[in-house]
Amino acid sequence: MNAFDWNNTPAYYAEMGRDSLRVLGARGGLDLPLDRLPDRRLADACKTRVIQSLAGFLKGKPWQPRPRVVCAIGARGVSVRRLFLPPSSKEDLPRLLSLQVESEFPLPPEELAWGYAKLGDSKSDDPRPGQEVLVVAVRKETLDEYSSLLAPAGASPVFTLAALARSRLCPHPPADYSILDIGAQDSELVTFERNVPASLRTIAWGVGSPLSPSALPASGSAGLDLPSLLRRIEGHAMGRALYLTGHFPGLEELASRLAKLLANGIRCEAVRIPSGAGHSAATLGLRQSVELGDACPPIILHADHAPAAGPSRPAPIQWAAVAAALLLAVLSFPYLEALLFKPHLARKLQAITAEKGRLVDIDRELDFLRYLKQNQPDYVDAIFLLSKAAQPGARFDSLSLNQRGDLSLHGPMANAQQVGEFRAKLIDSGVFTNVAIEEQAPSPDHQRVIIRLSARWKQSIPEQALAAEPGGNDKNKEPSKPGAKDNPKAAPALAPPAPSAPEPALPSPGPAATPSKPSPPTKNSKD
Amino acid sequence: MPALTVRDRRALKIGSLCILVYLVLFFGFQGGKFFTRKRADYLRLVQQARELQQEIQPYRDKAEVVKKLMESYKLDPAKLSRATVLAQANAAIQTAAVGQHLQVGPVRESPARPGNRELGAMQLEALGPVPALMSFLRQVDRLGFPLIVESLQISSDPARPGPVKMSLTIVILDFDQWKKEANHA
Repeated sequence: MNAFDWNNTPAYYAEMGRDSLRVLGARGGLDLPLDRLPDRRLADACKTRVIQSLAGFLKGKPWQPRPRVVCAIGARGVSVRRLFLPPSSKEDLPRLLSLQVESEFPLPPEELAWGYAKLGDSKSDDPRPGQEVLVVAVRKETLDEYSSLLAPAGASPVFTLAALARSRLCPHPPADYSILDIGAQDSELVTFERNVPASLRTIAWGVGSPLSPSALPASGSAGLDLPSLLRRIEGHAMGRALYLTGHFPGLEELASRLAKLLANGIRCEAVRIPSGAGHSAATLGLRQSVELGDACPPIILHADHAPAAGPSRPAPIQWAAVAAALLLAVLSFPYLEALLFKPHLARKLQAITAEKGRLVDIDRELDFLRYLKQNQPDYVDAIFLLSKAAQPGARFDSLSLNQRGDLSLHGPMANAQQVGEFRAKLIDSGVFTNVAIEEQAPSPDHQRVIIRLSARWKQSIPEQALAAEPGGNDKNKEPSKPGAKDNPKAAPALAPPAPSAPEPALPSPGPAATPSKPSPPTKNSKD
Repeated sequence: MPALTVRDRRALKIGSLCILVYLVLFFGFQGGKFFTRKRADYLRLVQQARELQQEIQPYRDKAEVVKKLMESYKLDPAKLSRATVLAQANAAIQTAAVGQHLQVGPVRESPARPGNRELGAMQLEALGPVPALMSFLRQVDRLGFPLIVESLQISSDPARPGPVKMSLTIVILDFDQWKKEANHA
């Protein structure tokens, strides 16, 4: 099995008999009785029935090609000739054979379907150079009738001879032997000399209907008229062995009886055919032929042997015309491109040029939005940094920030040391510069100091400044930035202080707070 | 009509052939000129298209930045109406303050200062707890108007212990000033 098996259709093997059609495939077999008219043609109703049954049996996947059916036909009406031809090439042999067939057979080659097999390069008893060919021919109408059954059923039929296919089943045959296939009405006798078919005959002797075992003689071969059979076959050379085939229950008994009756010590042997639908000596022989490696059955009958007209070679003038046309196409392509694509390109360019005015809008909007972004101070982050820098207990009474970067705050602190630390942390944050304590005075109760601080602050505060602890004391600590921008509860450090809250507040509205007037925006900006 | 002699026929054939060759050459040259002109026009258009493509290329990034900023500020400058933006911004700011449970105090609007690219300014005083004030401050620049908080003052109100008082000066930018600049450029 290979990767392409999914696309391969399985081969089918068929035997077209006088009363039955047997088809054997990979998935099973099919036996169909045939009804013939007195002139031996198939009845129309029978044809319809057979086609329907075959179509169902041969149905494959939609993507698969039509299945190939190798159909073995009976010996009736078939002629076998051994012809000796002068030496010829392989290509000339069919033409030579066609001439020979015309002279050897009673019908013209056009009315015949025939096939051949090359036997050897010369006759064993003839010193002249030449080649020996076995030719099998049958009326074309016979194959046409069979094709009219198989082709409408979706098959692609090829035909061969059943008598030759049966020889595959003979176990260890001698060089000269015969095969007798016993049918219902007729029997077929084929004789081989040196393993080459020498004669093929139809004998008017049978055992009954092969597809209805009840019609067979119940007593096996006991009721058969063997002397009559002997009289019909005794006049012919049968070689050293006679093989019996057929669908007959008493076949082995018949073989042993015939062996006793035959003279000259001819061995008589029955070929065992396993029972099953589609099984016959011909179908099994064909299958074995394929399984043994022969890609084709021995001889394929072709209905059409007319010498195939070789691919007509264009005259040089035609080649020249084709070359000229191609050259013209290559040369004219740039001009055709211009003719074909120019209107489309012009339309597209016009549309884009019309939309070009929007580019100015994009520039303008970009400038405007950038200006807006650059001039929006981040007050919340600045307040957050202030609250982080403040020591516990510190309070701011007022705080003022503006867009120009001025900051001022006013409030009490615990002592001068706390003021110094607060200033140091503000400077360390990198956001505040020019931090100046404009005024530091003791509170009226001399318990605290009241400061007024001014500084410059950067409006765009880097993320690192928000993440780092001012003063660098606690750099590994998770920053308590009010990260959720729209979540007011994320800024606990800025909440008004409870009486016991140690954290700084801004500003402190508590009872102890010293209210002060909001300081106006610093005017002494260094800008 | 007199019968044509062989010589006459030959002369007619040669004459016909000459005329045919002349016609082929004449129309061939004409056709060649026509196609060459068409191709030259087409190549000129292709060149224009390439130049236009180079010109437009940087605007892909710019348009992307503009889109992001507009989404960030929830603001489309082209949709701002100069006549009403001040009133709409005032209303939006007060609505946002009230939404944060702030007590809105005096609100003053002032005209644009000369030389500044602004439409006007407004001063707003509000009273409320610190978290609400911070939340409001975060919200101001996302109200869908070109607002810049020029100054911020926070102080305690001696008369009302508890909440703190915030005084804001907000500038509303005038997008038309950018239009004029672009036109002058």
